[in-house]
Amino acid sequence: MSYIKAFDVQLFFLINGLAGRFPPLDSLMVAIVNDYLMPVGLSLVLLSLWFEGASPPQREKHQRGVLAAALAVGLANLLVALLNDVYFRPRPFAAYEVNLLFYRPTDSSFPSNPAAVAFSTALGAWWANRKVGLFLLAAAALFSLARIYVGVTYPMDVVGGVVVAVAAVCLALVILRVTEPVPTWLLRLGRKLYLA
Amino acid sequence: MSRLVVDYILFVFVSACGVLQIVAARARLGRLLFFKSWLPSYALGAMAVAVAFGWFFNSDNRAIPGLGGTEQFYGFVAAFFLALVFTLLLSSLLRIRGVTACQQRNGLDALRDRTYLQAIGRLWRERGE
Repeated sequence: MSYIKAFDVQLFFLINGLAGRFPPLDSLMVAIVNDYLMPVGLSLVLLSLWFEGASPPQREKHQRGVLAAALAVGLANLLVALLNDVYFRPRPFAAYEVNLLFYRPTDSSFPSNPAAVAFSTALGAWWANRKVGLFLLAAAALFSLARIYVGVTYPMDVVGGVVVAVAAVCLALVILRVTEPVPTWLLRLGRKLYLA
Repeated sequence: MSRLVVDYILFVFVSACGVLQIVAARARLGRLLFFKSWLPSYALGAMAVAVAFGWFFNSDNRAIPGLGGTEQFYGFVAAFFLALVFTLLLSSLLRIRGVTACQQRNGLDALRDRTYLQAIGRLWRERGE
């Protein structure tokens, strides 16, 4: 356990050590790590998937993916909140001297909530459309890397966030399957109203 | 309502309107577009997204503690819903001309050749019959 922690801290300093060396890279990372850029960007790409599809069955698959991703994001938030109740890990800047390029979040560092939400969105989309999903996975990975770079999270927190996201997406898919025919009714209602 | 909330809702609203124009053009949902042809619709959509992002991130320092996750979620849902309603209504008003006898299509595909208000009107009439 202590070996993993030591590796985690070492990897953190390897990435965070780059901060402050290349001002353009710092600006880029600060822009990416912003609380609004990635969440809004990822959500808009996910919602655009609702309209995509060459045929009605393909579009329906995309729409089920959007439903799964939206549900997974809610579940991921819930899982992170539950984990935060039982385990609190201080942020890197609270324990070490780091290159801090962002404001100081006060919640637990583990698991990374932004990573959990971003990867839930991306994995939900990936289930429905590999191409869009891969694009969103790359964006989620960049977002998570940027959070390490600016000094607000450890690499293992991101790994924890990814595990939470995988669990949330699996759970969302199970819920959608178990609650069938409710999702089908929802989509049918959407089609009836010319919105799906 | 704080200035940040208003800014955030406006930011999502304008960018969502832009995204809706782009996806409608991609999906060939002609009557959901504000323009008759695809190219200006792509251009308008891309411009709306660029302006919304450019304005939001340059009008103030956004790298400080602001909206929490829950506030962001509700703000996003409200703004996206408003953008959808705005797009459906405005496209219905702008693209009402030129609709002729058209194929019976279901779901979103109905918006290829009739406006949203016309499609809803047809649904209403069918229910009355």
